Amino acid sequence: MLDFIKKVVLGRHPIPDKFKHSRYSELPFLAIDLEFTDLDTDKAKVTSIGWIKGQNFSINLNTAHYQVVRAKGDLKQSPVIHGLTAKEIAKGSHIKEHILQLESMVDSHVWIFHNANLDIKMISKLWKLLALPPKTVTTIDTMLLQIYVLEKSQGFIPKGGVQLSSCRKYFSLPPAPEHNALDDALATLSLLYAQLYSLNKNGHMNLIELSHTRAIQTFTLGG
Amino acid sequence: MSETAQQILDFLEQQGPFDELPTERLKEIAQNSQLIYLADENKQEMIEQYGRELFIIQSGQFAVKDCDGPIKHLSDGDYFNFPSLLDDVSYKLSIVVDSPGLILIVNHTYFTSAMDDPKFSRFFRASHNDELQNQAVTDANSMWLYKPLSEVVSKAPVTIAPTASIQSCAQKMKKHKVSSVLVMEEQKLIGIITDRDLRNRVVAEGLNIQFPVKQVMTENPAFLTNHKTIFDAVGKLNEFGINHLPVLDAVTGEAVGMITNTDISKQQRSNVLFIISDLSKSENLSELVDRSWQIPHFLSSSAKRAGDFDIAGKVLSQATDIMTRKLITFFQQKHGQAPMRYCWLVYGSQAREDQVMGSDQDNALLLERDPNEQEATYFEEMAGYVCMGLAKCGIKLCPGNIMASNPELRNSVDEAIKESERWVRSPTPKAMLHFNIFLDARAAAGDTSLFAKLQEARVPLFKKSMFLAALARQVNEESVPLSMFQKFVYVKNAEHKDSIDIKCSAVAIINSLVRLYALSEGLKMPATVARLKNISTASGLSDKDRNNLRDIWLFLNRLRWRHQLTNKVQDNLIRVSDLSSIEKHQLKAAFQAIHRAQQGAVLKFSGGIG
Repeated sequence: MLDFIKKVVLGRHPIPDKFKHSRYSELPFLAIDLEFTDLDTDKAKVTSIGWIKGQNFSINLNTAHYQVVRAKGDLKQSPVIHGLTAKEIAKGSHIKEHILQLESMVDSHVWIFHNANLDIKMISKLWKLLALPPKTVTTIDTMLLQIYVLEKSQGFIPKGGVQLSSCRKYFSLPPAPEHNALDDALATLSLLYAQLYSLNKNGHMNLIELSHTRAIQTFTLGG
Repeated sequence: MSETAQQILDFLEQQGPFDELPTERLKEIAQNSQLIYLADENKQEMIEQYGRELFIIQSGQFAVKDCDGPIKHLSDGDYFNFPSLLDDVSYKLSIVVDSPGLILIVNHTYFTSAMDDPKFSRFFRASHNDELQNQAVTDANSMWLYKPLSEVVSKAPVTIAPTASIQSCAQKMKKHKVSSVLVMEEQKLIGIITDRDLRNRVVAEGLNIQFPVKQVMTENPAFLTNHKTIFDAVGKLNEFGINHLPVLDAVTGEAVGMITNTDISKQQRSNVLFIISDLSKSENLSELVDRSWQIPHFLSSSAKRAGDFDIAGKVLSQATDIMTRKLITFFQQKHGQAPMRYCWLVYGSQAREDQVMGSDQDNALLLERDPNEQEATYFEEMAGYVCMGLAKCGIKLCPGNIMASNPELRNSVDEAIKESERWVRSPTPKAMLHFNIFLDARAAAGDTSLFAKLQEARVPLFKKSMFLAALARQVNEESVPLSMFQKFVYVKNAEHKDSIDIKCSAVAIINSLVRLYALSEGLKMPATVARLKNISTASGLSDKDRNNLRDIWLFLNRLRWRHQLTNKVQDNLIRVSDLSSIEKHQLKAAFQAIHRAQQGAVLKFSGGIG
């Protein structure tokens, strides 16, 4: 019974102790975005990946990472949307390099996504393919956080209300170019700051106290 | 190697004066900056951490004190904390967060190296000094037109006595290498002789070259006094179709020099001035109307550069003056000379010489004395003819009926003086609204001495403190379109949602402010730029304030003309989306400066009671 309550309150996996009691102003964040060839993660290939780090309501733009990923096979429509040509993709680097870099940041950072499910599924799939040992990662999903914010303030979710651009608009943040992995990651991280501030103005809240928003999740990569 | 986030690069590229820097430089800045979320709760920490860097607001609203100056209310696109970087003094930075938001923090080393770029540094230095960064105004190719003749004419004119022989005159011209000579009698200018006169009136006629020059000179030539501008000279030379214009001292009447078409063509680069010479050639009403209708077309096709916009208002006002004089001439050719001396007065924008397309006519007739019935009929007909003629030429009839065709505006000098006394005795707000327009006046035709007499009587009246206090209160009634957080406030229900009425909420305020200071000093000229030039520091306006107001006025005027000519409209609703990033900053700075000047005027003239 206790386990069940814990699961409901804390999500599928408990938040690791090292993050649980940190105030969110102290947490090291890593915002990540992947662009795919297909929405079905089983078939999809990663075309580009971007991330950026932040802490204490600051984003160090020097940590910006962006790479086009080499991919074979059918690109479908997606790379067109993401502004990549087949030629650029062919020149890109192998996804392995990036996943290995991410592996080094599983324990040190809380990972930030806008719609974590899709990206985590993809990363986890690659984790297995690369035969990396399973690892648990703590994430904050700005999309789920926005659902919480909207339900609390308006009682319903307007159509399209949780798209990244609409969320930014909600907090009067400036528009950002969409469908570029790095720009989406940066836009997600600055959105997170606005969301966290709106939820608790003095920044003294712990990550665990944010659990009720259901936006804090842990996932086992490669599990 | 780190990557550049496009949204940061885009932001900097749209952000004056960063937009002046090369893309490579901007990428470097974008990669090495911090993006922070600034809120009341973390501001102290942020100030401690980034107190040495430049802050650029991306979103949110903040009240900031970053130097010895006043608190600034800032929002997206605004900068702060640069004063301490510029002065290398660590001023205490304090921030009140009115609504939290994103700030781009640019490291001071990047800021310092960007300051090597002159345009970049000019922007920040000017912002720091609360000046409008309007180098372009002084650089503009038409600013020379605003120069007074006293600054241009340096060589004493070559003169000769009326009794001297024609031959000695020609010898004198040869010796001094000039093409004209002034004929002076007892220090007074009585005539002029030019190369052309010697050819046409002497050689061609086979005249005895020992005759006195008096016989062949042009008597009572057109002239200008040395406080007039080059622009006035251009107008006069063109209007009279002459090449030489004597310049006299404004006080003593002594000849101080000569200005010629050659002098002017050396500097003249703007062809908008041809409007004036073209109009002057009209010989009847229909020709005048035809040519007048070409003016908007001509202006929009030839006024391209900022400098052209600076003089467009003057060109249009001069053109309206010429139309008026032509119309009076046409009327008199038909109905005979006027039965007494009169002066055709113009008011408002035409008087100030800042007309725009769509400005309506504001004029009146000043008469030597009260007319009898017959005389009154003559002036009624003349005024009606001229006002209707102007309307045909495209200068709209005045909806407020401030026109010479209105019998109330055809007064004798004595009556006009009495009327001014009434204004000053009871400057009620309603009365002020009514007569404000008459405070910018100029004689456009007829006997200017009548107007001079009226002005003499008015100068002491308009200096009275109760009157000035009432004017100051009125100046303060209109406010600049900026919100508390320095965001533009747009005109409601305008066709374009980002419209600002640049006339009512900016240009007119400066005109009123400058009028107030000018009247308090007893200055007689109506033009805003000229008034600014002549207001003394004793007025309470410092040299810096005056220069800044002049730059702002010219800047606003440019925006207004560019709007009218490029959007092909006659309104004053400029659209913010038409402005460049730097211009938006300049416009905000201009509005802030106007607001400060309004406060200063209220403090000076009405004891702080707005």
